[in-house]
Amino acid sequence: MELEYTSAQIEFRQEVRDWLRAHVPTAPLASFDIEEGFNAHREWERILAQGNYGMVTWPTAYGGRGCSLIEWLIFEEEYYAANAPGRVNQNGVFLLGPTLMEYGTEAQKARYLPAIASGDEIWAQAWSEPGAGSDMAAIRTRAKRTDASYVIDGQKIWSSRAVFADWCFCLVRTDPDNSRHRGLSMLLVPLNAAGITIRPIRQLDGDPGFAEIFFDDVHVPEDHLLGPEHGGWQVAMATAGFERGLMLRSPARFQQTAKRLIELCHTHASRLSAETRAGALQAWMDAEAYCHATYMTASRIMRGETLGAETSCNKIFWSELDRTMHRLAMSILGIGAELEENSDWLDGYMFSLAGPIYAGSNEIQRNIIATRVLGLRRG
Amino acid sequence: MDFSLAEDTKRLAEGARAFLTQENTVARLRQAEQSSGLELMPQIASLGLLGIEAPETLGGLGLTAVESAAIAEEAGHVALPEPLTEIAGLLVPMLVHLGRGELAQSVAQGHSAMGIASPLCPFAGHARRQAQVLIVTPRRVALAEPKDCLNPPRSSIDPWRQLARVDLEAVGEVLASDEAAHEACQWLNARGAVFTAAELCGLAHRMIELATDYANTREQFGVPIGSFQAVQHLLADARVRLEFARPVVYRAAAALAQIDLPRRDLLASHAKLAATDTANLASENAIQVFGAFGYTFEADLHYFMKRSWALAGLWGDREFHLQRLDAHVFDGGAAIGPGTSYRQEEKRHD
Ligand SMILES: Cc1cc2nc3c(=O)[nH]c(=O)nc-3n(C[C@H](O)[C@H](O)[C@H](O)COP(=O)(O)OP(=O)(O)OC[C@H]3O[C@@H](n4cnc5c(N)ncnc54)[C@H](O)[C@@H]3O)c2cc1C
Repeated sequence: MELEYTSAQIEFRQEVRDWLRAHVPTAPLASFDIEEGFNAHREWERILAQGNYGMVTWPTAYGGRGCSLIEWLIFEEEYYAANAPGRVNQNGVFLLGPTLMEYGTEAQKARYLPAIASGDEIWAQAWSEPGAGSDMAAIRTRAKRTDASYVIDGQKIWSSRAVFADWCFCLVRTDPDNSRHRGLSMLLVPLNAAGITIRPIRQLDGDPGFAEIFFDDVHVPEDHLLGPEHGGWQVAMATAGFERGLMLRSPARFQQTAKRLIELCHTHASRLSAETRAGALQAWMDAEAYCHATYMTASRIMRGETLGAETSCNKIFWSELDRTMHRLAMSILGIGAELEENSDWLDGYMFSLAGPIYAGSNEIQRNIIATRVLGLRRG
Repeated sequence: MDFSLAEDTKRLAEGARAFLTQENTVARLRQAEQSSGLELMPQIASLGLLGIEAPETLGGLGLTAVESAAIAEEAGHVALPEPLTEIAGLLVPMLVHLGRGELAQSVAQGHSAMGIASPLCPFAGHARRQAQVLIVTPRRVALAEPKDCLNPPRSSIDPWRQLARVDLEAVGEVLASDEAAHEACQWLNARGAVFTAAELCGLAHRMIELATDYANTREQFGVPIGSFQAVQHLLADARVRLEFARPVVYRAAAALAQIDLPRRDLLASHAKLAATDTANLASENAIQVFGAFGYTFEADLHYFMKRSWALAGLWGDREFHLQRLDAHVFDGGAAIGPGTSYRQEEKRHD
């Protein structure tokens, strides 16, 4: 155990900090759930890529810098401290990217990864269906294998940013005789393919952040299959592991929120209850704990260990922490909380309510911990 | 930067676990009345565990506070009655720090029964057996005779803790005073908080395990109760808390060697709070899973639960640590936010 950064890591932090200071837009960008904001965020992804910061852990050949996970954490810390824009391509960068590294062919990696890192291709995740939410093995969207392609028919829902995105990674049923986990496959599908209809769905904040995707006789070439045919469940579980385990929500995000919350406490010090102050202190502690746990996890991965079902603990911890911090901020803002001018906390509060739902609901995570980490009998 | 336990540390902890699990069974815990709580000391000493942090020149293992924390966690896991954590993590390093190498060596070899007390821990355990008590206050560090400093024994809810309040002003051989005593006392308090926190993590872990085993065997409505989600989620919640307490404890253990004292103390407080809250949640949820059986002496749970209550108050209770953290975070100008958790820091060399 050695809890000091190397001098190279210290230099890297400084380099990132300087670069961000020079490049982060001074005014916040519009929401990436509306067209104008989406385009502005894509532009920002391109700027990031020019600095080679699209995804620092990826090999240079794919637009990365070959950094370690510790350096990625440093990058994230500087990124959130600089209040840099949200990552409109988070599905591509944090979910599909690592999955491609694990399951993609060399040709697929070379084809897709650089365009993710550069922001040229923005990805949506198309897994959920009206009848398959938590119970993802109930997926019914069908992909029939013809000679050299798959033909997709069916419907996906709740797909974030799919209204404006370029591609989706789509979990479909390729073997109709196998009804549950077996018989699924992961396909990479361009959202402008013939036969695709996209219907926006307004999210809690009013923006069309979700999409329903209808597939009507959509043809994609067979080399768009990611991982084994009928082995899509295992591919999806790897993606979900990255999502819950390490990548999707780095600690810096919550440390920054905790810091803002403490600052808000200072601004409202004259009317702050002991309860709220204690809550903010606990939130600060939990954000720190999440940071330490993540450094520990990253270090274990760097030593060659693999993550197991304990990643489910992460997802519960950060999502409930995020909700608590925003609830406290709403309490502090009190009568002003509903106003547009407080929209950073208000929007944050709304989005924090989604945290315990997406990426596998927290109830599902608790089921996983109970049965797979603790070894309790399945119900 | 590498925040993982070294292979050697893991092996050491595994060895300690194997030994402690075999020797300190629940059957033994049931024999509190017939035991001094010190029977295992010779074996513990011969394994070298009391001298984890003592330098090799004094016959110690020459390891760090991280290894002490790992061993403390194992001691908690079995609710060990012997004062392993106290001697290995507090007394021996403190005596070494004060330049009393020979005495440290004798204590580490299990030859001298010595207790330790400070304002944050004014009770000596194993009260009837102590030959000496090291009293550490911000003004003075002194080695006192039991007859001069120990009050009549008091009974604790934990049958294994034979406590006596220590008169912190008692006469004794003065080993340090003023600035040196102040520094030693702060150092001791931080160590006490961190290793107690590690023990609490071990206890929480064990309580979750006990409740899991029970839930898999106890049947109601024709199925194991552990198959009910309401039961599963109680234990999952405790496990989540534990998953985020252990890293704080190890972070704090690594910081015990720092010269940035406010940060060392801040981390010690955080560790103690995180572990205390985890143990509380684990015990409350575990007893719920056990039902009425858990509300008895028949179930094993209560030994672990009661130890955790006892440790919750030691080396700074919740209120103490919350107040200290509150002052740091709200008024102390402590650097907070992303990138501040591992600020470059120098190590002290004792
Ligand atoms: C902001 C946001 C973004 C999203 N983005 C995407 C995306 O990009 N792509 C995509 O494919 N999906 C996306 N989703 C969908 C998300 O994956 C699903 O919402 C999630 O899997 C839950 O499914 P559901 O909404 O159908 O809820 P349901 O499965 O109907 O669950 C409803 C409630 O029942 C509980 N429940 C269900 N089953 C169990 C069980 N076995 N045990 C205990 N409780 C249970 C759930 O925990 C939940 O509380 C997004 C969701 C949100 C909120």
